[in-house]
Amino acid sequence: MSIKERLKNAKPINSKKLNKSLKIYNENMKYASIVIQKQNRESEHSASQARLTT
Amino acid sequence: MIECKVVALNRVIPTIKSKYGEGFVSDNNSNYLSEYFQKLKQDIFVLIEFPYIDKLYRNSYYSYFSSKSKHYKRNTIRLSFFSSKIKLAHFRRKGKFKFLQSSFLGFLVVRPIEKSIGRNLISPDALLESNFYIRTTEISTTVNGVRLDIEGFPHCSQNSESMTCAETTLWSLMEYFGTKYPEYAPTLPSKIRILLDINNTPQRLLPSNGLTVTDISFLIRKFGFGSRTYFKDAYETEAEYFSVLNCYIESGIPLLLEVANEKISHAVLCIGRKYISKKELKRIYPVYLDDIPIYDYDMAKRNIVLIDDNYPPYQISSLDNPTEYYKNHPEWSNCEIKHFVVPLHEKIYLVAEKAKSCFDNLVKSGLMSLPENKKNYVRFFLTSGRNLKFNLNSDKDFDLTFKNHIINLEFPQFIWVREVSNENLANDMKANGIIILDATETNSDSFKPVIIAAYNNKLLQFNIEGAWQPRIIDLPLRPFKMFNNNLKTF
Repeated sequence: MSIKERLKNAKPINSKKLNKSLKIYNENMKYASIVIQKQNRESEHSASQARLTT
Repeated sequence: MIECKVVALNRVIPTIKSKYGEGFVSDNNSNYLSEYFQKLKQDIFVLIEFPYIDKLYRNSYYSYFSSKSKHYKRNTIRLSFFSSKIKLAHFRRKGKFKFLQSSFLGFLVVRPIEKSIGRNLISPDALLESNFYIRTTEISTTVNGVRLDIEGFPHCSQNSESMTCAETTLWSLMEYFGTKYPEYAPTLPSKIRILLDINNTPQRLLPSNGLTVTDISFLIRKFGFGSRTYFKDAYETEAEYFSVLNCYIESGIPLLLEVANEKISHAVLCIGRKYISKKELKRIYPVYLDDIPIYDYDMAKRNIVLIDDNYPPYQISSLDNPTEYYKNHPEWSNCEIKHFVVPLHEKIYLVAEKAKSCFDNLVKSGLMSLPENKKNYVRFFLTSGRNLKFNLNSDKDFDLTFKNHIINLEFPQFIWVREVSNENLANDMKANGIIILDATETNSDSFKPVIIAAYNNKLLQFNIEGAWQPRIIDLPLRPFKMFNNNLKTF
């Protein structure tokens, strides 16, 4: 049987487990996105000060 | 009339001096050429052509040098390098063209100015030492009436007047992209100035006063990329900053680096890396995801390969001392990579650090964990969907049913790939797990970027036939070769 068929026939992931995982994942990604945005802002700001001449 | 002469490498400088005079090679500047030649295999033969009209030098000549009181020549000399002894007669015999092509190692334009190293493209095969993994492009050139192809990375030295390191590095970057991919075009210094004028730059642009990292990022965007700038001090640790940089190197994207200390601020291109030793893989400091140790390849110490317009191409340095080859120049010591700019394809919306977080948080979510009692090695890179499918299809060790499944999946143009391995397999550059993320998906909620994840004998897929219906099935994977199409070995 192909993997596609096996996936179609597989039992759905337990909804309690899936929701718990989704919650952990989304909260962690939200935090990661805030850190990345902060790093990006600092990078943009400092880039305007650095003149490459040598 | 164009004059051609074949000489051995060690006779090039004396020949130029005696035949074409001080304008090209004087006692003051012959060290630039001799330093360049010292890096090459010494049994090379060189075809010297004069006069040669070089598009890059002519661009600076007409916009700048010709308007100065001092007289500058407008023609250049072109040197073409060959690994075998060639004769001028070979260029008129069709039967010898294959021999010329197989011996051809690249070309170098000698400019009639103090910094005489002009546009050049040299194959790493011409170097005394290489043993590195880099990005390259192939350029066709007509040498004495014979069309010859050469693979390498474009390089030119700065002239310090109309082109500083910033413009030269941008030229080199666009020469690479413009000759490799149809969606980009090579550029010239005058085009850079026109684009900066459009941006209402308040200062004069000639003589050049260099460019800011913001200017460079703006220009890269104008050349058709979605540029992204990274700043060292924005990261909590140097290791975290370098791991993002290494991830882009593994993705085969040439990076524009700002190397700087209190006195110096310089632009170079990073085009690849040296071999990562097994010893360095063992030294990786692990990151823990819920008590599971992860050994990230991007954390392994490695040397990088640079295109620096103050030195011959393919310089090697470490990440924490990027100017270590500036020996006898104390003012260049203690430089660090302050910023780097990534010329991302404009359709790549998911940046490296966010893609890495997606994987980390997938593991942390508990939906599909990694083996707890093993050293999990992971490798991360960007590639095109087509390239990954081609690579997997060429690997006879890759599980056939999984190969069929991946090849039949609809992929976006670009994907982030995480290969999962263990200590034993990593030594042989093999993996037994793979996670594929959609690089065009910037919304990371609810595992959206994850296309498929197969590791630890399980397979997880969220979308089946267009509908969000997450499923996990058992799928033990045989070890397969790690992806190696992003960088070319020399």
